[in-house]
Amino acid sequence: MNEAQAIALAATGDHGAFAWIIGEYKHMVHTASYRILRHREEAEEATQDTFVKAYQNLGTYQGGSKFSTWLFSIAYRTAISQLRKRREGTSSIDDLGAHEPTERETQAVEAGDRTAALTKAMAQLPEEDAAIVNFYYLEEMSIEEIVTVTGLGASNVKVKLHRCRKRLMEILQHELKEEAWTLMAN
Amino acid sequence: MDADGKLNEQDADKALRDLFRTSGHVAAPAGMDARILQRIALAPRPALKPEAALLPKWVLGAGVAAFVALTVYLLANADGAAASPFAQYLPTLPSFSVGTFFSSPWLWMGGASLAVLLGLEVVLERKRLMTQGVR
Repeated sequence: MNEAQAIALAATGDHGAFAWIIGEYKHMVHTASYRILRHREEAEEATQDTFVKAYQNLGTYQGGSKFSTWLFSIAYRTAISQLRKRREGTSSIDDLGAHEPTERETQAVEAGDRTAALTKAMAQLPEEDAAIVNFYYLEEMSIEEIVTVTGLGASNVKVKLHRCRKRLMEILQHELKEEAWTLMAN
Repeated sequence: MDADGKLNEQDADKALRDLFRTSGHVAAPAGMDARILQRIALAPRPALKPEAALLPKWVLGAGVAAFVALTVYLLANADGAAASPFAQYLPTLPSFSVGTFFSSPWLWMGGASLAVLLGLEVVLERKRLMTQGVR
């Protein structure tokens, strides 16, 4: 089954075809949700909500953009909406701040684990910016696609990417041991 | 890399891209597929995509109105107009030849075009409903 067939069949209510779509995109959608929410359970909830909304609105997918772009725009709005609800319901100012690294993450970073260092660095960016960075570097989306997904202006996206790139490099340079840094630079 | 040992923007871009590629996605929790499918089983069917009709309703309405007006006009001006109930209301209209009107190629071409468009509309609508599983 290819993507176009799966979308056409799923739009008729075929659950098997939609299961194929879930299998293809679940990690991408979950990653995008996690970068914004930074909480495993909430990210799973947002991912589930994204797929349910996508299923119910498959008939509105016109094929004008890539399916992944359409799906990411649902995921982005769902996670941002969940984040706002959480913020509205949070009274402690500490809970609104950046994600605090766990002990395991800290140990991994100290051991030169680049993935852990990246996770830690991403957690220090504002949530919406972390999502943009994720779309650009991990999903390799173009600026135009990110504009479609987030609804932000192209110049705004470029400025955010520039700032985030600088900030990430500062954090990574500080966190990673020299050896790991040299490897990364090569 | 510049003299201070810092990466320039292009190198930083490449380094980050490589780092993200190496790190990959945050794996979705096990069993999430089944949980989504359970929720979908309870959700309504996907909404059918509304598509614009080839002939908008106002065109059909205008066509019907024009047909009625034309019928009234023809009845009022046909031979033996005294038999028409509308004749007394339309005394000043010029005379009209039904034979000339119906032998006009414009009328027949217009009618044929309308028939083709309506036929196409019916075929496309049937095809769309079959594609979307509504029979």
